[in-house]
Amino acid sequence: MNIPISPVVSSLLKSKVLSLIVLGQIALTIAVVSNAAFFAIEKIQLIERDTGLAETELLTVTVNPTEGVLNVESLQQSIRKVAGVENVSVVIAPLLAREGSSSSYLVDPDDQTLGNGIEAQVTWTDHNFIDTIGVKLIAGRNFSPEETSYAYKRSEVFDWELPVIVSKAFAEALFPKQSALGQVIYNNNKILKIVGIIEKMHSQEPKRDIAEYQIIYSQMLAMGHQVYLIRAKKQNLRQIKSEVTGVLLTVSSKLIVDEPKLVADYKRDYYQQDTLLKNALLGLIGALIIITCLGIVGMALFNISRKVKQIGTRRALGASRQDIMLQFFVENTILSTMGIFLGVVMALVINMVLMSNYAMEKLNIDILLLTCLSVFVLTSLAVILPAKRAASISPAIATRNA
Amino acid sequence: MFFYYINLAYKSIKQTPIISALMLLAIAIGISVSMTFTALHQARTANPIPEKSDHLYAVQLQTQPEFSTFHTVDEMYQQLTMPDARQLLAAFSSISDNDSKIRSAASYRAGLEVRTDDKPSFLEATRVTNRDFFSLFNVPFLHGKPWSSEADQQGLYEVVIGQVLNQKVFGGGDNVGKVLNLDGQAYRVSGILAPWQPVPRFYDAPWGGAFEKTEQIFIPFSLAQKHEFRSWGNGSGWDDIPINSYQEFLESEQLWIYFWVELNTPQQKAEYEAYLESYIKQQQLSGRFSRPNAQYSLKPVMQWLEYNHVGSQDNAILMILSYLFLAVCLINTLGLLLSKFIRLAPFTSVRRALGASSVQIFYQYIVEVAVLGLLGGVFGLILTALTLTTLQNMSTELFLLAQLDWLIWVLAPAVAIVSTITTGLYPAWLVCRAQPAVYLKIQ
Repeated sequence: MNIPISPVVSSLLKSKVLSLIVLGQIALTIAVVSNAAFFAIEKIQLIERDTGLAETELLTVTVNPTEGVLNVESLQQSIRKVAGVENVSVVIAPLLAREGSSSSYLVDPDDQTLGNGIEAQVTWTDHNFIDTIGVKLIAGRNFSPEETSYAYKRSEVFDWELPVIVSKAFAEALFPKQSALGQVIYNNNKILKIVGIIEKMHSQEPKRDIAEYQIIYSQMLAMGHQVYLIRAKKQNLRQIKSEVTGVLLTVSSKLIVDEPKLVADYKRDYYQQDTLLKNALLGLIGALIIITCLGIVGMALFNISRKVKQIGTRRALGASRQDIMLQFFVENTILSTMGIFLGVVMALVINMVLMSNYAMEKLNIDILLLTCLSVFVLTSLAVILPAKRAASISPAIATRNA
Repeated sequence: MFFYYINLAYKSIKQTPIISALMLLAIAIGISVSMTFTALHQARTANPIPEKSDHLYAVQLQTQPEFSTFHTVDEMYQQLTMPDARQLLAAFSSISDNDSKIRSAASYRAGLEVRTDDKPSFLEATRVTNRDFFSLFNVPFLHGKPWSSEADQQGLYEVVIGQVLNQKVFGGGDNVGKVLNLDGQAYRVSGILAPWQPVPRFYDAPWGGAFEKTEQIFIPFSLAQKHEFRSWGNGSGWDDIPINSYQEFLESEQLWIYFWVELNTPQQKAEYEAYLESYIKQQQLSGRFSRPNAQYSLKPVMQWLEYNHVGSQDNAILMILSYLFLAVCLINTLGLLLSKFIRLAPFTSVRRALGASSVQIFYQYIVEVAVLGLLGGVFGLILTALTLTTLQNMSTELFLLAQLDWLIWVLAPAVAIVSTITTGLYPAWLVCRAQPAVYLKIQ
């Protein structure tokens, strides 16, 4: 079977504009799709990061005192009595909710210039925290109940060596050459001792640069509002959510309970913009590919209608149906290849523009190649129907008058 | 003649229903996608107070030592300490509503418990600020007015409330003079606001505050000296002096107060800058502001928004990609137009043979293309409206951002018509150039 290059090339050259249109569409599609896909994948990776938490099994409820302070132990006890509750911990802020504080920690107490400390996200809590949220302890131990304390006044905030648990990334940043276990770190004239290390955990702001730097205190600041973290099997959470407010109100009337919220919902809300963006990009990619394929089909059908006589003549002179179809595939391949080259160039240009003006990363080559391959395959598939139509043109047309 | 062409255009569009439908679809989708993201981007980067955005300045003071940078580009923090805020407020306090005085507003966000007779009590977002806040930011009043300057100075229990709270607690209407129970204390309602939501909410913009709903309760700033309200705002600090009581907190170097000043003339600006410089020097004498060349900064509204990264870059990228998508849709339309015009060339040839000039043919095609663009633009606008309405229901932030304003009403059809005409120029030119005789032969 001859591959009819020269008739294809000459026919392409004759209808330059139409060829350029198809070429341009393929090129622009590759340029936009590769950048959009890359951006979308970045977003997906951001959202899907491991938080270290048992996200789907956690509920938070915030309690606000209206007078005086609230006794943590009695509130925790009352929550534990609710059916389905497996564990409860009190924390200063809900997880993945943009609430909380961070501070800087020094390894060397003589380093009085505080600015040289390493910043980490802080969780004030008790000994139930580790088990409640389900993080993995990879070294050392959890707090004991005797070690944990609740500060009901500012003057009760710890002035002793406080046991703390840190995340692996933070530990390695503080002590790159040795184990952080048993080491002491300093913060604002306070001393903290690392008794345990967890694998990883996300808390207040997972999109910050210090998202993996976590420090967990064995004291809870209980003077104002308190957040209770409840661990339960997923199917029980809804029931617990509806019961817990009433239970808390039976303990004391001097409090306001906020609407309980699942940690999974906090996560969904935290990444809402990113999820929306990702969906918009995927929608854009889908629409673009559909429109380009439809365009190619349309163009090919139009070409056939213009070349009916030519195709009929070729058939009358002995070309088989496959030869005619092959002609279309070759035409499409040549256009696609040229479109791909142009598209790769355009993709890189667009990527550079976006990188320099906005916070976009350098385009991943794998994604670019995958886009080119997909577009090539899809456009080839798009040509099948028109090619078949062309092949079914009867040679008798050549013999018809005019 | 124009209406004749419109008629011809209509007939021509009907003549090739599938191609016309495809073109309309391509244009409509391209327009709706690009317009949706333009609307979102536009709302994010809009000027929330255009009538005086150049005269409102956010004040920053570099109170911290060398080693503390707060990770901002100019090593300044977005909030002031309470002692600084108090001093700055007192320096130019306006006794009367006289325009020539320099006015400033200090504020922070708190959560107060609203107690009512008939409902369980609830916590409500509150702005603790001085009365000049309302004149500074052109806050509209429906009933009453801001509390008096005595209330500001002496810390009297007066409150300004918003429409939503007015409805919730009092059932709406003019309730000036009535009592509102906040944290167990009776406050007299001195004013009720008309609905007010600057987008972005520039006066509390950093760390995601720019697209939150405005507060429903406003109480005098000096009350902060007597009462520790539940803090619902941000703050930061750099020093290690232990804070054991609320009073110590008020006097500390903790930075937690937003501060804005209105400077209407260059003289006022110069006067204020000179004041800040001398203030810093004076404070350095008592040991504060340890940086030798400690700075101040006055940032007008739009600069403040940019400094706090309010216009998200992600959306700008999406907007650019959506315009490229529109370009692909138009290229698609170009191909379809070309194929359609060439196919219908015999009909044009008949017109030419009957005496129409090339220019008239060209004009006919452009009118057809313009009609197509207009229809596509209208469908695109409808799709945009639907998309934005769907987005509005997704979050508070999107509710504020996904608004279809007049810009989009105008832009959508305009972009559609202009881009479609541009696309149609080549096909129209190509066909009107062709020799009519070619197409009059029987095929």
